[in-house]
Amino acid sequence: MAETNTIRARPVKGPPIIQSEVFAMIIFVFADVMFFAGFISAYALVGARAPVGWWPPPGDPALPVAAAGGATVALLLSGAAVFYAGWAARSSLANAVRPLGVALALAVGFLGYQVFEFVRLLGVGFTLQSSAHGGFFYTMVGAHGLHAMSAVAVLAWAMRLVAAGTLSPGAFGAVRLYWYFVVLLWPAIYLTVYL
Amino acid sequence: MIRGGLVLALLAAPSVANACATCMDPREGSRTLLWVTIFLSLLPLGLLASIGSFLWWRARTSLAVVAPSPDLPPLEIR
Repeated sequence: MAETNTIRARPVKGPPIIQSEVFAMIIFVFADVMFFAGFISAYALVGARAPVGWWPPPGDPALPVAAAGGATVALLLSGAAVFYAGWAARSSLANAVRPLGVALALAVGFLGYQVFEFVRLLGVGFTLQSSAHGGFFYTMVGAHGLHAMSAVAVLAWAMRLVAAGTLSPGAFGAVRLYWYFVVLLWPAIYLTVYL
Repeated sequence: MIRGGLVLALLAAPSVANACATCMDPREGSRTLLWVTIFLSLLPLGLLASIGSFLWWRARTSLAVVAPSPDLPPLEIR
């Protein structure tokens, strides 16, 4: 009679393919990308329909391309800082505090510039109702600004929990993904509206 | 009666009911509407494909862990 060897084995549930928080954020970002894609497409269509030389309308003030470009660089640098924070957190969560602080400072600077620009443009009569261009400008830039504002609040919350050492990897991943979205969306809006 | 008359009037002059702001592009040769249509049609598909590819890659790279278990019937090897 042949000898019998027995093996008792069962696959054990391993780590999830993706954290729930990150997956939820992916779905949210997906919807938001389509939201802004609609704005950008509408802007392109209205601009294409205008007679040559009439878009933006001649009466509208020139948008501060260089200053907004500087704000764009600050926002991109904050994205790089958050990326570095995620990399640094692999060894220890405490290492992410400083880069998150840098990102937060740059993001607040970006938002401060946006507020300053809105106030200045409103002061010279460029409003939501002054022209279709004005409507698009305040809607698109304002919608992005609201996203940036909420992202700054979330980033500050994450930084506080990172400093306390209590932020879960999934939540940290979701916060970083949201910030990457806000950062990478802005160049698309800048290229569409300002240039 | 009034509703029926309105429908007949619209049938007689269909251009009045043309409410699409982007259907007529005054600049001859402009393909903006075409490009925007292509962009908005392909964008969700591209996003879905990217997310699907990412999840597939994550599933492929995650390790299958095997550990002993007393619950399952033994596998016999002769």
